[in-house]
Order: sequence, then structure tokens, then C-alpha cells
Amino acid sequence: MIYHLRHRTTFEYSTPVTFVYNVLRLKPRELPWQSVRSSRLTVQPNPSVLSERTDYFGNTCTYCSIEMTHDQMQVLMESIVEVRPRPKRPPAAASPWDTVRERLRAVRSPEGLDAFQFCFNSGAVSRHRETRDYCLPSCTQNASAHEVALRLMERIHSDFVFDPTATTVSTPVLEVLKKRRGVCQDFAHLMISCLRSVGIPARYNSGYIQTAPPPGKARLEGADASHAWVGVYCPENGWLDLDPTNNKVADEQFITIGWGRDYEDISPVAGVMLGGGKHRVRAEVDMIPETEFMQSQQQQ
Amino acid sequence: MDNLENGYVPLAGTYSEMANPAGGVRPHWQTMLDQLNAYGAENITTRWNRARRIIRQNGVTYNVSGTESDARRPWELDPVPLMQSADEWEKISAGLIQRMRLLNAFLADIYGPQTLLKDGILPSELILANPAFLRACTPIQPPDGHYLTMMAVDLARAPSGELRVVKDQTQTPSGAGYALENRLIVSRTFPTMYRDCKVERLAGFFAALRDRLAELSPRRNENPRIVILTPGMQSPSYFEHAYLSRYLGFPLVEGNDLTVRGNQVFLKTLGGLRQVDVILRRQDDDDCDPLELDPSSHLGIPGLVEAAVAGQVVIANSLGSGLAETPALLPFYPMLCRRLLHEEPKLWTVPTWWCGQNLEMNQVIQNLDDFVIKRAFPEPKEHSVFPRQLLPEQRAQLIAHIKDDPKRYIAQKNLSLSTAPCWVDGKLVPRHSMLRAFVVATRDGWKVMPGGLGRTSSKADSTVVSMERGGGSKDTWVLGRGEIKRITLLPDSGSEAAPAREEENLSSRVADNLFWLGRYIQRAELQTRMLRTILRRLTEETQPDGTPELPELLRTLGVMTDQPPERWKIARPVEDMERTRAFLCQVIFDTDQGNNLQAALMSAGQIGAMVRDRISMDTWRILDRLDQELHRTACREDLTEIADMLDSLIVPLSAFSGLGFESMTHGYAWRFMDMGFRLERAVMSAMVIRELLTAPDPYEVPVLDAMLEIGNCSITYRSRYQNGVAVLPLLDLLISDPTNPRSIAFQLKLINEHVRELSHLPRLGQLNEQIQSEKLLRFVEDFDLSLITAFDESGHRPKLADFLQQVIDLVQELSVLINERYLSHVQSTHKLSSLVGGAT
Repeated sequence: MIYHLRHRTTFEYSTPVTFVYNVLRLKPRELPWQSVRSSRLTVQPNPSVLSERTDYFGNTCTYCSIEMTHDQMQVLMESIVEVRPRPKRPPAAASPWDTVRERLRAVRSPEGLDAFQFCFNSGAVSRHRETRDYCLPSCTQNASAHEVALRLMERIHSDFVFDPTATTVSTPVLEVLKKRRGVCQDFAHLMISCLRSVGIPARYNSGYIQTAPPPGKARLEGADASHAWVGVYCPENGWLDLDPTNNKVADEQFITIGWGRDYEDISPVAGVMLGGGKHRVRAEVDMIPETEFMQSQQQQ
Repeated sequence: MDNLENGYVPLAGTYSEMANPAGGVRPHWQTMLDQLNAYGAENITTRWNRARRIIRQNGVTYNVSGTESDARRPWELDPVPLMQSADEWEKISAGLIQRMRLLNAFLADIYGPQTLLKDGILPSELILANPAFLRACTPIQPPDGHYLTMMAVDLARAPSGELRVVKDQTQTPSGAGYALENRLIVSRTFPTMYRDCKVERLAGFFAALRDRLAELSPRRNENPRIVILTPGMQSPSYFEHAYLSRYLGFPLVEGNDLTVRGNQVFLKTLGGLRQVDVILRRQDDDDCDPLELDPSSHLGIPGLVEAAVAGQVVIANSLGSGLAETPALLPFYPMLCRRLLHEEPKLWTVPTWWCGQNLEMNQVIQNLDDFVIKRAFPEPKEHSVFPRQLLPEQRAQLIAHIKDDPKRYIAQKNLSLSTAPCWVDGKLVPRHSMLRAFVVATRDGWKVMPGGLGRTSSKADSTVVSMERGGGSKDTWVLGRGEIKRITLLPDSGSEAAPAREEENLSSRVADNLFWLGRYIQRAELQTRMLRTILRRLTEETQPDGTPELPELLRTLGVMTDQPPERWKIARPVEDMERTRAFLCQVIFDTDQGNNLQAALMSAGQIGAMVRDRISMDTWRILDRLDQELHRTACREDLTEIADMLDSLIVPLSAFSGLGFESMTHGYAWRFMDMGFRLERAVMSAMVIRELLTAPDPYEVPVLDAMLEIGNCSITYRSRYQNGVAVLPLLDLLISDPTNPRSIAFQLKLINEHVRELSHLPRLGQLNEQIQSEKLLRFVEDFDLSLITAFDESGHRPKLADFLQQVIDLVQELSVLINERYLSHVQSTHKLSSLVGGAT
């Protein structure tokens, strides 16, 4: 699948802002099943610095600062991304979920070392007795980490209600667990906390998911959203990406920007501004399959 | 006379630093002891009492709790130095240098190729689960691979006599400044002892640090700008930050004083932005950049990590170096030493077990009582638990905690610390002791401070040695080999403090503080004079016909201090003494009532502490004396005692302006302080005159007398005018006389001068405040007072009241203009974050 991706974030401030410092993580990552054919980042007003680097997790991040008084900032990432079916390794006999952490403790391969760091508490996600208790029913004896995670995903999907009004970006995991409501970020954080609390490495993925327009209706501009899901590690079979919000194993409908221990490591736009009072954020995402994109181009 | 060491009995089971097992004195203590004996007990005590006074007056403090109220706890210092022989110190130094190389090599590996993890040398959990491992800092490449520019190592001596490392400090190593201050005090108190012991000097260490910081500058060809970054007053060692700033001649800045533009760091000064090349930071790793490190920190500089990654600024120690002080690494360092340096370790660590390994954890739990349990990863405050002291249920809880998350705990052997003699109640007694040593990197190697911060327990049986727990400190003397070079001798604080800094480095925040320091001091002085004038009339038989002016004076005081009328409306103050006393006490002591004497003095003290690197030692001593006087609380029932207290306040208060003139260089810092001072005096004087002279008053003569007293110009007046007091000459003296240092015109003249001088700062043109200031000065100087002194039919002086109100308004407007121009740069920051999946 080839997608034309546009992600525009607009910040409007109640009073003018003199300086903004941002770290942007918006550029999709090169992966065995994902290629970025082109990408263009535009920030307005004109930033005085725009520098790209690769972060510790291998994601592309862009530091940018705006040093002029302004009352609105716009960040636009446009890219063309090809997503192929993920390579299917024939599943190896996997060790039971409750041996994963002990195994990783001794593993020294780059992949194993990388996975191990996703076992521990991070800035926004801690392990809790409560999330452990919620997770345990999915942890049947001898089940692999992936099997546990698949069951957990199903349960979260059926136990929790998608409700954009219930939470904010900083709602703690335990509150989400109590309310049984939230958005993709909350479900991802919850699932990560559950898995880590039983010793399974889990990471936070940031990106997009293709949504179908309502039947018989045209795609609404900007109606897609950025998305978050969970990667789960099993020493024998590697990473498996699971989306608790949609109860779905990630496939060609997912574009991956990157991953981290939680939202704080990979939030699309993180910034500090001087002045400005309150601010309002508007995000518009269009993730249009190439065929559809061509049709709309021809019609214009 | 008996020798001091004769009655000294070392504690059993510990190593005695001074006494050898045979009962004699170790050779490297002998000269010092002989000298102490030569001084004699009484002389030592007398000298030491004087030294303690100096410590207090110099404001050497350690802020234990981190609160502002506790900000000025005096530093505890013992007069008897901790002696080190030249031979042993040579070995210790070699060990310390090796340790610094080791920790640096460790950081370079973990923030770089991570071979220690890939080759299975270190348990990976130790790094990957460690909150001190800052992933955002991995792209930073410190110059020449020097992650550490300076570090501190806590050493303790085991009963065997062997020195062991208890703790490393790599992110904000503190104590070097205190060590220097200790040296100055002890060497000045016992000069002959210091001279005869041939003690190694400390100055070379600080010179090496200063040179090293300059070498680190990314702009090699220019004169680098180096700053010391402090978290501010709430930091326990804020005193030290200010002290080092003065000593090294680098401006002391807080996060708010710095800003990142492009990918460079700038200091916000009165003269505009100045690029900063090197930051000696005393702020924790995580607090340095809210954008890429801890987003909840309010101390940081957004963009600092980017500037460091871009190599445009060098931060010492490098961001992320707190990782090396992870307590759980202690047991691994000997092995890392062999691996990374291919050397046998020269300094050993206090036996430590990390519970993150099963074998170790089980051993620890089985023998819990032998250990002290601490946190494995760095935390701001140490949590030490002594299982021996726990109740059974607490013990069980501790074991449960360890088993639940073993990687978070370490266990250390209870080490019986060595003892050293301390001076307590006129004799030498043993106290447990430790030494904090310091190492600095140099261009071609490393340099150890010959000496360090000796630390002692507060009681003989206490083994907890820490400033947080109320222990004391000691100067540490390393005996020199042969002749000590005199050139490095530090004779007194005046000459070493040579502040070789550019005036333009004055940050807006500091200027703002100085401005308000001046205002508060002057406010306190005028209130004190007013109160004194009133109290004198209440306690002394001044006039034969009573004191008819008292109600007017009380009202004026009430208006000056924003008190509600029901407090000061007292028709017969002498007869209604209880209400009068209550009102006066309110004005003096009540801190809740914003604008009164105690509040002004407290604000002055707090601000003074914040800018202490900018004011002279003498000025600081005055602030300290004010603090003392205020706390020497007079009996509030007794007006005579209160009057005494006010009398003793007025001397330091009056001295303040004089000293500012004498002992501060007349640069921008002084100008801002004096400007605040003058603005306050102009406004308050105008207010007093307005309150006392514009209302109808049948008792004008006593009122005029009181005004002369408040204005402190009775003598001037009487030498000029032989007859009794009259309104016009009095007003002339108080308002327009340009030669009277208390007249309003005089204040305006000086303010005008300051404003003019400040306009020489770069990038500023003809300024509003300059225009306003000129206008104000002309207005007052040219005014013909004789036109407005007459009463109208109702017995008022409305024209005079108008005039004074106009003066007050114009001065306030000027104050606002000055603030807008120079001082209001501090802006609040907000966090931005984007949306995910429709979250709001």
C-alpha cells in the first residue's frame, strides 16, 4: 500500500508567544516493511533552527525553535509512505511468558538488549499491582508473551469504551483502568503497564491507521488522527504490534512513525513556549491510499 | 600544663586518625598538636568563638531543609584540622585520579558504544532500568571525551586503617567551596599553627578548575564566557555556588537568566544577550532542559540539550554524568577498572551488594542486620535504613520491598568510621570522621585538591556523617614536602575574591533583586525613624504641654504601612496606651500585614541572600546584623525595650546606604540598588510631608519638630535658622534643598544620574525613563514652595497636597518605566503537546 500522508498540527495561543522550542517526531521510520518515498516538514512561522537527528530508539526527531512573536504555530508533515505486508517468520516454539524477563537479563544481542529496556518503569508508565491483577487472567500457563498479549488486547478492547472526553494526554494509567474509558494512547499505556508488570517487554508505537470513510460518503478532509499502539516482545519471535483500540494486529493499514517506552519518548510535537497563556491545539490528519489520491487529483 | 592530647581516649573498635595503638600520637599530627598546646585551651576557645562569629557574619550556611526559612543555618566547623601525611596523600591522590579516569571511561562507554553491556560485563538492568541513564544525552560529545571536569569522592577509613570509597559525586559535586572557606577561617584563626605545619595550599586546585573551564570553550580564539548555573536559593549549597562565583569570577546564574537562541546559549544581561561558552552547573541532570529532560522541571533552559549536542556550549560535568554516581555501581567498579583501564584498583569501595542479583539478594536478606540498606539508583535524598533499628513488622516490610523490586536496593556493610579529635567544651574529644576529596581534569592530566572537606558526626556514638543530619565539618591539612610556595597563599577574602567580571554580565534578575533590596532597606529605615519619633514621645517627658502631635504621627505611620484606620485612629494615644502599643507592635512585628517593618526587613534579608555574590561582605554583614537585631525580640509589652531595639536597628540601616557607596564598585549593580533606595526615599518622604502638613492642625510647631526628627535633619536646620521652626524653611530643606542628602530633590538628582549612566548600555537610545526623570527633577527643583504653603479658609494646604501627590505619582511612573526597560524579562513558560487519537 502507498499512502499520501498529511499531518497538520495548529497551535493557537490566547496571548502572543515570543519563543517556542519544539522537538518533533513526525517522520515515518524506515522499516523492513515500510519505506518513506518522500517527506517534507513545514513549520510556520519560519523557525530559526530546524535540525534533524536520530534519537536513542532510532526514530527521526527534529529540533526546531521559533524566535519571533507569533500567536499561531503550524507544523505540517507531508509524506508518501509505502507499507508492505510484514514479513511472517514461521512462529518458533516460544518460551512461556513468565520466563521472558529472566531470559532477557542474560541476553547480550543488540536486539535482546534493546528489548530488555522496555521491561521497566518509564516516565509515563509504571508497573502496578492493579494492572498486574488485570493482566493475570490472560496469562495462562505456558502461554507465550505474544499469546498473552493477544488475549489482553481482546479484553481491553471489549472492557473499555473509546471516549475522547474521558481523559487528557496526562491521565495516569490507573485512572484509565478505573474509568474503563479513554483513547488509543490510554489503551496503549494501560496495555504496556499490564505487560511490563508481568515481566513482558512492551513499547509504545506512534503513527497512523487508515480509516475507511463512512459507507457511501466521501472521505472528510483531516478526519483521520494520529494513532498509538503497542509492540510486544517475545525472545523467539521478536516484536508483534498490537492495537488494543481496534483489536487488531498491525498490518499494511498502519504507518509507523516510531516507538519509545511511552508517549513521552515519541510524542509527535513536544514543546516549551515562553509566554502565551493558554493554547488550543488542532490536529488534522489525512492518510489517503494512492489510488484514491490519484482519483481525487484527476477530478481536480 | 597538661597537654591537650593527654586526656584524649579514642573510641574502641575504630581507627584513630590521631592516636597510634601504642598510645602515642601519629607523626603527622605532632606539629599541629604542639601548636595547639602552645595556644592553650583558653586561647583556642577565645579564638574559636571569634571565628564562629566570622562564620555567621560571612553568612556561611548550609540550607538543610531546602526551604527559604531555613536558608541561613550557620555552617558547622571544627577548629582542629584533619591531618594527612604527605606519603599517604600521594597514594590517595593516585587512587582518586584513577577513580576519576575510571568513572569517565565508564560514562564514555555507556553513552557511546555500550561494550560493557554488549560484552556482558555489567548487568544490563543496572543501566537500562536506571533513571539516571538519560537517553536524550547520548548524542552529546563532550570535548576530548571529558564527561567529568570535576568530581568528588567520599572516603572513609575502616578500622584496619584502609581508606575506602563510600560515595561518588559526578553530577553536581559539592563541597569544594566549603573546603576553601574552612581553610580561610582556620588558617586565619591559628596563623602560626598553619604556617608551621607547612600545609599544602588549595588555590592551585581552583586555578586548575578555572583554567580547565576556559579550555573547554568551543570558541577557542576568544575570551570565553563561563557561568555557574545554580538551582537558586532552595539548593542546600547555594552559599557555595555564590562563593565559587565570587572566587572564580564567573557570574552566578539561574536557568531563567539563560536562553537558547539558534543553538547557542546566551546570558540575558542589562546590555542585551551575551553568548555563553561554558556552564559549570550545580543543577541536576534532569533539571537542565524541560524540553528534552524532565518536563516537569521549572529550573531548566529549553533547548540546552540541543545546544550541547550542536557543540555550541560545553556543560561541566556533561549532561547525564549523574549515571556514574549510581550506588549500585560501587561493587562493579573494581572489575570495571581492570576492564576499562587495565589497572588494579588503587582505592577500594565500602563492601556493597546490589540486590538485583539473586545470590546477593539472598545473602543480604539472610544477614540483614549486618547491613545498611540504601537505594540502588541515584535519588535526590539519601534513604539509609538500618535494619538493626527496625521493629519486627518494619523489618518484614523492608524484606518484602526488597523482594518485590530487588534491583532498587543495595546493602552496605556497617562500616565503623575512623575517629578524629574535635574541639568540644574546651577539650579534644573523638568523633567519627569522613573526607570528601575533589579531583579536577586538566589539559594534560588530573589534579587532586590537596585537602578536602572533612566531615564529622555530631555525637560520639553516631556513625551517620552527613551535613543533612547535622554533622560538622573540618579543614583537612595535607602536610607539604619541603617548602610551600608562598605565591599561592590566600591572605584574605578581599584579595582572592577579586571580581574580574564585566559589568554587562549583570543579569536582569539580579538587577531586579538589587533594586528591591534598596527599596526594602530604605522602607525599613524610614519606618524605623517614624516609629522612634513616636516612641520617644510616648516614653520620654519631652514637652511640658504634652504631645499633641501624637495622633497625627500615628495616622502618618498607619498610612505609610497600609494599616486600616480603626487601628491608628487614636484620639488620646497616651491615655489610650494599650491600643497605641498594640498598633505599634502590629507595625513592627506582624508579618501578615504586608507593608510593615518586619516584612521589609525579612524581604531585604531574603533578597540579600539571593544576590550575595553581588554585594560586598560589609553590606552582607549589615543584613546579618539587622536579622540578629530583629530576632533579639524585645519584650513586646515594654515600650522602652522596643525603643531600644529600634535604636539598635537604625545604626545598621543608616550604614547601609553609606556602605553601598563605599564598598561597592559604582557599576550597574550598585546603581540599581541605589536607584531603588532613592525612589523609595523620595516617595516615602513626600508621603510623610503630605500626611503631616496638609491637614488642619492647631499644633503645627510640635509637628514640625517631629518632621525634623523623622527627616534626621534637626541639626542642619538649627544651624541655619536660629529661630523656632517654620513651615517654609522646613519644606525647603526637606523638598528642594539640593545639598540635603535627605531632601526629595537630592534623591531625584541621583536617580537622574543613574538613569543617564544606564543609558550607556549598548543598544539603547534616548529613553522614556530619562525624559521622565529629567522632567521630575526640574519640576521639583523649580517649584516655588512659597506659593503653596498658605492655609486656605478651611485650614488645609490643598496646593501643597496636590504638589506632593504629583511628585509621588511621577516617581511611581518612573519606577514603572525603569522596570519595563530593564527588569521585566522573566516570562513564564508553558508546555505544548500534541494530540493523539483525538485526546484533548
